[in-house]
Amino acid sequence: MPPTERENSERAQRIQRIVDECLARQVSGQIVSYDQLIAEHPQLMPELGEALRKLELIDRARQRAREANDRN
Amino acid sequence: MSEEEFVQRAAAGDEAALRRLLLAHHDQLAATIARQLPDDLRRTISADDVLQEAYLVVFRKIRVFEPGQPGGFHAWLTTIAEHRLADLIKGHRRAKRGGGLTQAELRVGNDDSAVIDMLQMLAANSRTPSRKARMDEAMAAVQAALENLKEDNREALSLRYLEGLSVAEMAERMGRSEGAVHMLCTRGLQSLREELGDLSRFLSSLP
Repeated sequence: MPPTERENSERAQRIQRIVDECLARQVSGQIVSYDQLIAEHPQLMPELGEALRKLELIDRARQRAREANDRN
Repeated sequence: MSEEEFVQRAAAGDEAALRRLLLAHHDQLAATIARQLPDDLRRTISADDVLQEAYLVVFRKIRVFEPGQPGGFHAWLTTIAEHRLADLIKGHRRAKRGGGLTQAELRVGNDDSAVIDMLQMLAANSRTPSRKARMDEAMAAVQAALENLKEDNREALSLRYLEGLSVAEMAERMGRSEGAVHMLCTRGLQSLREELGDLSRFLSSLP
Protein backbone atom coordinates (compact mmCIF):
# COMPACT_ATOMS: atom_id res chain seq x y z
CA MET A 1 0.00 0.00 0.00
CA PRO A 2 1.47 3.40 -0.95
CA PRO A 3 2.21 5.83 1.89
CA THR A 4 -0.46 8.36 2.75
CA GLU A 5 0.03 12.10 2.37
CA ARG A 6 0.36 12.36 6.14
CA GLU A 7 3.04 9.65 6.24
CA ASN A 8 4.97 11.41 3.49
CA SER A 9 4.73 14.69 5.35
CA GLU A 10 5.97 13.12 8.59
CA ARG A 11 8.83 11.51 6.72
CA ALA A 12 9.85 14.84 5.17
CA GLN A 13 9.68 16.49 8.60
CA ARG A 14 11.91 13.79 10.11
CA ILE A 15 14.47 14.30 7.37
CA GLN A 16 14.35 18.06 7.87
CA ARG A 17 14.89 17.58 11.64
CA ILE A 18 17.90 15.35 11.00
CA VAL A 19 19.36 17.89 8.57
CA ASP A 20 18.73 20.74 11.04
CA GLU A 21 20.40 18.76 13.84
CA CYS A 22 23.30 18.03 11.53
CA LEU A 23 23.69 21.75 10.72
CA ALA A 24 23.48 22.66 14.43
CA ARG A 25 26.13 20.07 15.35
CA GLN A 26 28.44 21.33 12.62
CA VAL A 27 27.98 24.93 13.74
CA SER A 28 29.00 23.85 17.25
CA GLY A 29 32.21 22.44 15.79
CA GLN A 30 31.31 18.76 15.68
CA ILE A 31 32.32 16.65 12.71
CA VAL A 32 29.28 14.87 11.31
CA SER A 33 29.68 11.78 9.16
CA TYR A 34 26.98 11.71 6.49
CA ASP A 35 27.67 8.05 5.85
CA GLN A 36 27.02 7.35 9.54
CA LEU A 37 23.78 9.36 9.47
CA ILE A 38 22.60 7.29 6.52
CA ALA A 39 23.55 4.09 8.35
CA GLU A 40 21.58 5.25 11.41
CA HIS A 41 18.44 6.02 9.39
CA PRO A 42 18.14 3.41 6.63
CA GLN A 43 14.36 3.71 6.73
CA LEU A 44 14.63 7.30 5.49
CA MET A 45 16.56 6.36 2.37
CA PRO A 46 16.80 7.35 -0.41
CA GLU A 47 15.46 10.82 0.49
CA LEU A 48 17.86 11.39 3.38
CA GLY A 49 20.81 10.38 1.21
CA GLU A 50 19.68 12.82 -1.46
CA ALA A 51 19.37 15.65 1.09
CA LEU A 52 22.84 14.89 2.45
CA ARG A 53 24.27 14.71 -1.06
CA LYS A 54 22.99 18.24 -1.70
CA LEU A 55 24.32 19.36 1.67
CA GLU A 56 27.71 17.92 0.79
CA LEU A 57 27.69 19.85 -2.49
CA ILE A 58 26.81 23.04 -0.56
CA ASP A 59 29.47 22.33 2.09
CA ARG A 60 32.09 21.83 -0.55
CA ALA A 61 31.30 25.22 -2.07
CA ARG A 62 31.50 26.74 1.42
CA GLN A 63 34.90 25.14 2.00
CA ARG A 64 36.20 26.38 -1.34
CA ALA A 65 34.92 29.89 -0.59
CA ARG A 66 36.80 29.82 2.72
CA GLU A 67 39.98 28.66 1.03
CA ALA A 68 39.65 31.37 -1.60
CA ASN A 69 39.07 34.03 1.06
CA ASP A 70 42.10 32.78 3.01
CA ARG A 71 44.25 33.18 -0.09
CA ASN A 72 43.06 36.76 -0.73
CA MET B 1 11.28 30.87 11.24
CA SER B 2 10.22 32.41 7.92
CA GLU B 3 12.35 32.46 4.77
CA GLU B 4 12.88 36.20 5.16
CA GLU B 5 14.28 35.63 8.66
CA PHE B 6 16.62 32.94 7.35
CA VAL B 7 17.75 35.32 4.59
CA GLN B 8 18.43 38.10 7.08
CA ARG B 9 20.43 35.76 9.28
CA ALA B 10 22.37 34.43 6.31
CA ALA B 11 23.19 37.96 5.12
CA ALA B 12 24.39 38.74 8.64
CA GLY B 13 26.90 35.89 8.43
CA ASP B 14 24.97 32.90 9.79
CA GLU B 15 26.37 30.06 7.65
CA ALA B 16 23.93 27.46 8.99
CA ALA B 17 21.04 29.68 7.87
CA LEU B 18 22.62 30.09 4.44
CA ARG B 19 23.21 26.34 4.04
CA ARG B 20 19.62 25.62 5.03
CA LEU B 21 18.37 28.21 2.50
CA LEU B 22 20.50 26.77 -0.28
CA LEU B 23 19.25 23.30 0.53
CA ALA B 24 15.66 24.54 0.41
CA HIS B 25 16.15 26.28 -2.96
CA HIS B 26 18.35 23.62 -4.54
CA ASP B 27 15.74 21.54 -6.37
CA GLN B 28 13.94 24.50 -7.93
CA LEU B 29 17.22 26.10 -8.94
CA ALA B 30 18.52 22.81 -10.37
CA ALA B 31 15.37 22.46 -12.46
CA THR B 32 15.75 26.03 -13.77
CA ILE B 33 19.37 25.42 -14.76
CA ALA B 34 18.66 21.96 -16.21
CA ARG B 35 16.11 23.52 -18.58
CA GLN B 36 18.76 25.95 -19.87
CA LEU B 37 21.53 23.39 -20.48
CA PRO B 38 22.32 23.16 -24.21
CA ASP B 39 21.49 19.76 -25.66
CA ASP B 40 25.04 19.11 -26.82
CA LEU B 41 26.49 19.69 -23.34
CA ARG B 42 23.96 17.80 -21.23
CA ARG B 43 26.25 14.81 -21.09
CA THR B 44 29.16 16.77 -19.69
CA ILE B 45 27.60 19.55 -17.61
CA SER B 46 24.97 18.82 -14.97
CA ALA B 47 22.85 21.29 -13.04
CA ASP B 48 24.80 20.24 -9.94
CA ASP B 49 28.08 21.26 -11.60
CA VAL B 50 26.63 24.70 -12.22
CA LEU B 51 25.18 25.02 -8.73
CA GLN B 52 28.45 23.95 -7.10
CA GLU B 53 30.11 26.93 -8.83
CA ALA B 54 27.17 29.22 -8.07
CA TYR B 55 27.19 28.36 -4.36
CA LEU B 56 30.88 29.22 -4.18
CA VAL B 57 29.97 32.73 -5.37
CA VAL B 58 27.03 32.86 -2.96
CA PHE B 59 29.22 32.08 0.05
CA ARG B 60 31.67 34.77 -1.01
CA LYS B 61 29.02 37.42 -1.76
CA ILE B 62 26.31 36.82 0.82
CA ARG B 63 27.61 39.62 3.02
CA VAL B 64 26.86 42.16 0.31
CA PHE B 65 23.42 40.76 -0.50
CA GLU B 66 20.71 43.15 0.63
CA PRO B 67 17.52 41.35 1.72
CA GLY B 68 14.63 43.14 0.04
CA GLN B 69 11.25 41.99 -1.06
CA PRO B 70 10.10 38.36 -0.77
CA GLY B 71 11.59 36.25 -3.53
CA GLY B 72 14.65 38.45 -3.80
CA PHE B 73 16.99 35.76 -2.51
CA HIS B 74 15.82 33.21 -5.05
CA ALA B 75 16.12 35.76 -7.86
CA TRP B 76 19.67 36.56 -6.71
CA LEU B 77 20.59 32.87 -6.61
CA THR B 78 19.13 32.32 -10.07
CA THR B 79 21.10 35.22 -11.55
CA ILE B 80 24.37 33.90 -10.09
CA ALA B 81 23.66 30.35 -11.31
CA GLU B 82 22.78 31.56 -14.81
CA HIS B 83 26.02 33.54 -15.01
CA ARG B 84 28.01 30.51 -13.91
CA LEU B 85 26.16 28.38 -16.46
CA ALA B 86 27.16 30.85 -19.18
CA ASP B 87 30.80 30.66 -18.03
CA LEU B 88 30.80 26.85 -18.00
CA ILE B 89 29.23 26.72 -21.46
CA LYS B 90 31.93 29.06 -22.80
CA GLY B 91 34.65 26.90 -21.23
CA HIS B 92 33.28 23.69 -22.69
CA ARG B 93 32.78 25.22 -26.13
CA ARG B 94 36.45 26.25 -26.08
CA ALA B 95 37.51 22.76 -25.03
CA LYS B 96 35.40 21.23 -27.79
CA ARG B 97 37.03 23.52 -30.34
CA GLY B 98 40.39 22.02 -29.44
CA GLY B 99 41.25 22.94 -25.89
CA GLY B 100 43.17 26.06 -26.81
CA LEU B 101 43.01 27.53 -23.35
CA THR B 102 45.44 30.29 -22.51
CA GLN B 103 46.85 31.04 -19.09
CA ALA B 104 44.45 33.94 -18.75
CA GLU B 105 41.46 31.85 -19.76
CA LEU B 106 42.15 28.89 -17.52
CA ARG B 107 40.73 29.65 -14.11
CA VAL B 108 43.41 28.96 -11.62
CA GLY B 109 43.20 27.80 -8.08
CA ASN B 110 40.33 26.67 -6.00
CA ASP B 111 37.89 26.00 -8.79
CA ASP B 112 36.49 22.70 -10.02
CA SER B 113 35.87 24.29 -13.41
CA ALA B 114 39.61 24.45 -13.98
CA VAL B 115 39.96 20.77 -13.09
CA ILE B 116 37.05 19.91 -15.37
CA ASP B 117 38.64 22.02 -18.13
CA MET B 118 41.83 20.01 -17.75
CA LEU B 119 39.92 16.73 -17.90
CA GLN B 120 38.17 17.95 -21.05
CA MET B 121 41.52 18.85 -22.53
CA LEU B 122 42.89 15.43 -21.63
CA ALA B 123 39.98 13.85 -23.48
CA ALA B 124 40.43 16.16 -26.49
CA ASN B 125 44.18 15.68 -26.68
CA SER B 126 44.05 11.92 -26.35
CA ARG B 127 42.11 12.03 -29.62
CA THR B 128 44.33 14.61 -31.31
CA PRO B 129 47.97 13.46 -31.46
CA SER B 130 49.21 16.70 -33.03
CA ARG B 131 48.19 18.69 -29.99
CA LYS B 132 49.41 16.12 -27.51
CA ALA B 133 53.06 17.08 -27.60
CA ARG B 134 52.61 20.67 -26.51
CA MET B 135 50.52 19.77 -23.49
CA ASP B 136 52.33 16.68 -22.34
CA GLU B 137 53.42 18.02 -18.98
CA ALA B 138 50.04 19.25 -17.86
CA MET B 139 48.14 16.28 -19.20
CA ALA B 140 50.59 13.80 -17.71
CA ALA B 141 50.03 15.47 -14.36
CA VAL B 142 46.26 15.14 -14.70
CA GLN B 143 46.63 11.50 -15.75
CA ALA B 144 48.94 10.78 -12.82
CA ALA B 145 46.59 12.53 -10.40
CA LEU B 146 43.70 10.47 -11.73
CA GLU B 147 45.68 7.29 -11.11
CA ASN B 148 46.09 8.27 -7.47
CA LEU B 149 42.35 8.56 -6.82
CA LYS B 150 40.25 5.87 -5.21
CA GLU B 151 39.11 3.43 -7.84
CA ASP B 152 35.42 4.34 -7.78
CA ASN B 153 36.16 8.08 -7.89
CA ARG B 154 38.57 7.58 -10.79
CA GLU B 155 36.06 5.46 -12.66
CA ALA B 156 33.33 8.07 -12.14
CA LEU B 157 35.47 10.95 -13.42
CA SER B 158 36.74 8.92 -16.37
CA LEU B 159 33.26 7.88 -17.43
CA ARG B 160 31.88 11.38 -17.00
CA TYR B 161 34.60 13.61 -18.39
CA LEU B 162 36.76 11.37 -20.58
CA GLU B 163 34.12 9.09 -22.07
CA GLY B 164 31.36 11.70 -21.83
CA LEU B 165 28.65 9.45 -20.41
CA SER B 166 25.53 10.99 -18.92
CA VAL B 167 24.86 10.50 -15.22
CA ALA B 168 22.06 8.06 -16.06
CA GLU B 169 24.39 6.02 -18.27
CA MET B 170 27.06 6.05 -15.59
CA ALA B 171 24.58 4.88 -12.97
CA GLU B 172 23.63 1.95 -15.16
CA ARG B 173 27.26 1.11 -16.00
CA MET B 174 28.40 1.34 -12.37
CA GLY B 175 25.34 -0.32 -10.86
CA ARG B 176 24.69 2.66 -8.57
CA SER B 177 22.01 5.28 -8.13
CA GLU B 178 22.31 8.62 -9.94
CA GLY B 179 22.70 10.31 -6.57
CA ALA B 180 25.60 8.03 -5.67
CA VAL B 181 27.22 8.73 -9.03
CA HIS B 182 26.92 12.49 -8.45
CA MET B 183 28.52 12.01 -5.04
CA LEU B 184 31.41 10.03 -6.56
CA CYS B 185 32.01 12.79 -9.11
CA THR B 186 31.87 15.51 -6.47
CA ARG B 187 34.32 13.70 -4.21
CA GLY B 188 36.47 12.69 -7.16
CA LEU B 189 36.81 16.29 -8.35
CA GLN B 190 37.72 17.37 -4.84
CA SER B 191 40.39 14.67 -4.59
CA LEU B 192 41.70 15.46 -8.06
CA ARG B 193 41.97 19.15 -7.22
CA GLU B 194 43.87 18.26 -4.05
CA GLU B 195 46.15 15.93 -5.99
CA LEU B 196 46.89 18.60 -8.58
CA GLY B 197 47.39 21.39 -6.07
CA ASP B 198 47.99 24.81 -7.58
CA LEU B 199 47.06 24.47 -11.23
CA SER B 200 49.19 27.48 -12.14
CA ARG B 201 52.31 25.30 -11.94
CA PHE B 202 51.13 23.50 -15.10
CA LEU B 203 50.32 26.61 -17.05
CA SER B 204 53.77 27.18 -18.49
CA SER B 205 53.22 24.14 -20.67
CA LEU B 206 49.90 25.31 -22.04
CA PRO B 207 49.61 27.26 -25.27
